Amino acid sequence: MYRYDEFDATFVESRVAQFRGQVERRLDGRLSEAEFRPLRLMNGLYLQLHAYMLRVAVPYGTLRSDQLRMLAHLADRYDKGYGHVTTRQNMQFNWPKLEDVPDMLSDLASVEMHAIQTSGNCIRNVTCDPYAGAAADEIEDPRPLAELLRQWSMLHPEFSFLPRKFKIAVTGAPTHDRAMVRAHDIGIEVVRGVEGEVGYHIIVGGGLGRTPVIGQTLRVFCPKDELLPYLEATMRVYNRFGRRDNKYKARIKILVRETGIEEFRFLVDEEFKALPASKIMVGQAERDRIAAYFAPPDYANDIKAFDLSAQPEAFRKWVDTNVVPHIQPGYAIVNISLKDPDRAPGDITADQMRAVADLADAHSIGEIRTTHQQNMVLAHVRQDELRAVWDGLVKADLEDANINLIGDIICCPGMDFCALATARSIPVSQAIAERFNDHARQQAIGEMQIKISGCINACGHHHVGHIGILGLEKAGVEFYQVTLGGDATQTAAIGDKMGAGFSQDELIDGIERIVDFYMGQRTEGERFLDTYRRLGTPAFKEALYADA
Amino acid sequence: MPTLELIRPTGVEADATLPLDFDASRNDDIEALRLPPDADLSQIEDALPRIKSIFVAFDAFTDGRGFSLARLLRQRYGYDGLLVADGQLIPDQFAFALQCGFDAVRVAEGELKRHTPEAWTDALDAFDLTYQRGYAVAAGPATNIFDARLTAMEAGQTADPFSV
Repeated sequence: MYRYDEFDATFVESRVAQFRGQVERRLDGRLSEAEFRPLRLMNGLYLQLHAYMLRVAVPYGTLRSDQLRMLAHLADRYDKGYGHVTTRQNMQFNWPKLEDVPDMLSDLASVEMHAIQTSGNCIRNVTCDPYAGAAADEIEDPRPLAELLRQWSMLHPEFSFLPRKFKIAVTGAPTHDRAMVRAHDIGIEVVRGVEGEVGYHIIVGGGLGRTPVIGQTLRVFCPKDELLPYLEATMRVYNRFGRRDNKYKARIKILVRETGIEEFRFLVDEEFKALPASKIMVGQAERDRIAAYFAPPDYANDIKAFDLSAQPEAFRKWVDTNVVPHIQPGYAIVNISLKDPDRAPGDITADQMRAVADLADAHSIGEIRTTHQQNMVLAHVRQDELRAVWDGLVKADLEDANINLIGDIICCPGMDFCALATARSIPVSQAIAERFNDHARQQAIGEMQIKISGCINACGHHHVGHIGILGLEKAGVEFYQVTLGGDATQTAAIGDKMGAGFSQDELIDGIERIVDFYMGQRTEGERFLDTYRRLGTPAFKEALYADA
Repeated sequence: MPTLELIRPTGVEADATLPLDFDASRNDDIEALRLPPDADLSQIEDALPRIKSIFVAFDAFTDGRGFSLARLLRQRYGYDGLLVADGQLIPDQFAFALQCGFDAVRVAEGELKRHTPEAWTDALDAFDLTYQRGYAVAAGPATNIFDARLTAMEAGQTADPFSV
């Protein structure tokens, strides 16, 4: 994992000091709230429904155990004893006091962390495949690229006051996209060129929100050397021509749509040709320096085959759902579900954070990943230590065996926390989890992604849920609209809107009817998404409204 | 409007109303030109060598288009006259402005009560470092991190050619 050198450390310390000064100037009135707002947002500090919220950056979803322990410390000391993993792999705290925030940032800096650009109209924290460096389907580990982008985008002098927020995601496994690269302002896939050389496929203009769009190819193959100059060219075109008259039309997806991808590409190419590329690019030596931090761990070669049959059933179920193959024989990737039906999706207590940190130290090179599905991952676990990991998770009440199943719901904070929300989303998620609580039933249903947003800004990614749920409000009454057939992977699709909305109770019944309909119709090996695509919208719509 | 004169004096009267347009048919020097944030630079490209100072308008500090205009004027069009960020900037953006190629910032007199000249110069001391290559400036973040690392790596190599 990347370690700060003296420059990174000094930079983040300067940033903490700068923000401390900004808070002082806000408190004594030298900065107006209008002026302070963009500055605090660029440091991850929101003003929410009940309190300030601090969103801490977890760059490309990777944490060292000491960093996770620091997050536990922040949760205990400055919050109510828990944190929340977001769909951008960050961790947010919902109850800090403004005057405590500089100290929180200072604590974070002591373990090489920050909250820079987790919000605001700037380049946000870069997200990444949570299985990076451990997955067999990967062309190259994307984390060195993600780290380079983290550094390049830090307080960019030209691109810190963009028309709107800007999200970049990267994956090294284009055949199994776990980073949603087609739903980002820019998505980057590691690909091979005609000579077999490694470079990048650049996708632009994807995004969810009010206007869901699947990204399009901007450049089929970008050589590694050219990436930063090419991104600067793209950002400059966006910064100059992106709409600033209407915040709902200010994302790059609207610019690309209104300009047309051909013309947009032309503008970027013209800009790129005129740039002094050699003065912007970061050379091989530096890229190698960063990549060295992500070298594969020293794997053991003497791991004996692991006999599952002698193990308890609960453990076997957990292995079935939460453990996936690793590139190295004898190892496994462990998903830790943060989808306990009794908690909000993605919430984790300080004690649980410490338990996970301890497990990472003992069994997974002291490293933890957060995922955009609001779970955690231990990426390098010896198969003969899986039982020990599970025992530890049971002790910490983190053994839910529901990864990628119907209980593994993505959900925004909704009206329980968020100032923008129009409806509650956490209680809906809990009600669904409760209805499908039976593990055997979840297992029988198979891969199923339910995603819930409490307003049209779509933080819960409902557009790309197999079943998407959007919470709205009319005349003081919450109701929920359903979309079906969304897909967040390399076969990305925006879900189809069904008809009239439901009350929460009706909704849960409707979802059960869709699921039962699917179970009755599916052929061997078909996922929900496959059956939906085969049978089409009308059949599922009929099932959804069967009782209405 | 007072000017925060940093790199060199702007030479423009504090209260001057600046022209938004100029007569392209003439050949004499243009003292000062004011550019809106959506300016099409190709329109003034030929006249650039004759323009002594360009004031790029910032109508709101959240509108970052002026930063790209400055960068383009300096890098793509080779403009070497005086370049001033003009309008609603705040001290926290001062370093960014200089890094993108501005020489100075011009703000309304009233703004200097809350954002004192001292606050503006203090803001330049916030960072010594910048990650973006080509954006280091003597008056602000003076060291580019990637370049500094490369220098250190090369120095390390030459210091001990036999080390692995």
